[in-house]
Amino acid sequence: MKLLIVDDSLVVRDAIQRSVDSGTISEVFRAGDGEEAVSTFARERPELVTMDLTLPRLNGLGAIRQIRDIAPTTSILVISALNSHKTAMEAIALGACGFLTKPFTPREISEALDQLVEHAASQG
Amino acid sequence: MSSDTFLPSLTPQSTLAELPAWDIRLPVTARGDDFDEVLRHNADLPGVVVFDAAGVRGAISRARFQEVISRPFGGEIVRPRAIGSLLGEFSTGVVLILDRNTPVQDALRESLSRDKTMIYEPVLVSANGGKEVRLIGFTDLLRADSRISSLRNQQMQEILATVQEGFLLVDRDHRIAGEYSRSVETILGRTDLAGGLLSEVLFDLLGEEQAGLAGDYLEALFNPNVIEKLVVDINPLKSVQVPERAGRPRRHLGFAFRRSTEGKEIRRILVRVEDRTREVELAGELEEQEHQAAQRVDLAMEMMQVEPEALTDYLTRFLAETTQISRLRSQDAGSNRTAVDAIFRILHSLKGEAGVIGLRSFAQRLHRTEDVAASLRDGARSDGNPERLDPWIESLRELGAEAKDLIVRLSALASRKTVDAAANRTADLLPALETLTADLSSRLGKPARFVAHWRDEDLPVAYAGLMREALIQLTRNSMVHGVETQQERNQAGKPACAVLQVALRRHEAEGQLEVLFQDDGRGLDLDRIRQRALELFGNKVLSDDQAAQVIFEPGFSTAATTTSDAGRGVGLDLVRDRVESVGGMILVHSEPSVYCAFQIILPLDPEVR
Repeated sequence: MKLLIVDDSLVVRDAIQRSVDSGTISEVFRAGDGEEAVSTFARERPELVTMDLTLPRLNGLGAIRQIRDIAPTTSILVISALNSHKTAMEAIALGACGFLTKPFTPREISEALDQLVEHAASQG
Repeated sequence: MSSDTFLPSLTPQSTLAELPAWDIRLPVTARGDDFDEVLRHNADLPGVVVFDAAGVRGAISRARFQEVISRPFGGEIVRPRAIGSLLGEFSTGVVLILDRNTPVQDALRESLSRDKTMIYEPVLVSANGGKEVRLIGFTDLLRADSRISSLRNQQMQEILATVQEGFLLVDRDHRIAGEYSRSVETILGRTDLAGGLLSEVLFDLLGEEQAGLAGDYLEALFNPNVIEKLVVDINPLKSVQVPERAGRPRRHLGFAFRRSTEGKEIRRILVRVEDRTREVELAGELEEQEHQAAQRVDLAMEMMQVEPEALTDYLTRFLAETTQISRLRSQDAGSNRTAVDAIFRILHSLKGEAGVIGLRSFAQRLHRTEDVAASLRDGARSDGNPERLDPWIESLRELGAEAKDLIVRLSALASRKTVDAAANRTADLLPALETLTADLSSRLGKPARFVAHWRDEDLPVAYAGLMREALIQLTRNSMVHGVETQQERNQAGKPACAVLQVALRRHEAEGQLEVLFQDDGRGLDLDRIRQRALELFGNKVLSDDQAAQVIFEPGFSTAATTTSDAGRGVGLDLVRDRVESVGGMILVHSEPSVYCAFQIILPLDPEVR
């Protein structure tokens, strides 16, 4: 499976990528803003996406909407600070299948990615 | 006898004193026959205490005696002999004697730790400071323990019952199923739950916003695209506060949600609700303790940076003044404005000095106390309740005690030379004022420097404290009210950096000491002072001279808001009082946009009055 990591922070992108299990995830793409996320997604069509909500250019909610428009069964995990429950609920309503709050531990992120892989497999 | 009917008065804290104790004793010389006779006359007797001239020798139980005489020839051997000689056989001679205040459960544990041949033997209890010894049967001890254990268990159940936790189920339409646990009614405070909408219940309990979020969250959980474990973090009702209402105090509830699935279909959501009030309160208390610990560290750090003599001086004064404040409060009948005023001034002056020597913790707490006192003073005529001050005064006294405690510990760290404190105070006054000016200058964004024409030896030591208070107030007053902002100074064509000057002169012939304090700020705004005087005191027509004098009136301030630097309307009245209290006087001279000067005249010999 392919994974797209979207976060405007290099540190966070690295932290997420470090927890990727190369046994199940064969390829990782990265994007630093919402527009780059959508274009990379359209080009590479990954099954999995981790999405930050506060992003330059196009915010996370907008990116989720566009990605789900391109491929409605994509498994999207929001990884963001929980600034407002309302935004979190909106992300879910737009089609994200989970929400991991920052800051996270390596264990949390790796468990969440496992669940995301499982979810994508069941979508298959 | 069941353990429930045995000794109904037992409690989990019961001791041996509450158990049936036997006071039947036999001398070592009594024969086995005599023992048999005693046992036959006292059907419940578990055993006897055996004694000789030296005191207690041991105990023999009914069970053990009967066991021995039932052996072949046992009766023939035992009955005619003195029981003392049998002690070795009936017991190992080591007797367990416990104090009567021993808890039952401890006593049982002790008795069970005896040699295994002794375990079922009676326990001896000493009473009356060891003068009396009584006997308690092992079975009674066991029964009592069993009863107590069941009581403890019962109490545990009661405790568990008060841990409020309930469960309910909601369906796809967010309707509450009928089979919820009863405690949910207690927690949510209503009984009409079955068939109702969870969102409506939450609406009544928590308001629209949280009820709406909870509805969205339920929808998310019913959404098969959503991974249940990956939305736990965004549960909006993880910990919510229920406001006080209808006689119920404010509470904290926690909601947790789990899917209930059949096959792949999400049928219902199981909702667990618990009352987390105690938990949240405990967490709050813990946080408060940590906060206090952090404050103590801050205080210690501050104190270590203060010059030791100045610190000791300040603290001595602080302790004395807070005691004085307490006294004033206790004399205060409730509407005594003079007392509140006096308290107010002490606070203000203590605060000023704290700021100068760098005790920010003191300055901050004094400022907040002053806030309360200010609201009292201003509202004293109507509804000011001076009791509101008490917790603050208490907190100041605690702070003082804490600092005093710290000082002892800090002084253990650094050996300190003894210096004449009063002499030192005249010496460190000018540097302190320079520091204060620099500090206020940077905080207020008004460039200023402090210039002194002053020889420390010209100031009588007796005036050191007074002068310190007065000049601190005047410096503050100048920096806050007198000195303009940089922009204003530019516009007025004045040098950017303001100058505060203080001069000290001895007039030996007149027997006077003169202190002149002057700034090159905006001068007194007499129109504004007139206007404030009218608002505050109802004074209508004032000449320029009269208006200038108003600034010395208690409670006068032209500042719209108060900060820890000025605006209280205390300060100048305090200075005047202190100066007048030693027979001196204070005058103010001013020219708009040029300067404002305070002239303090004191008798050279402080003993005059």
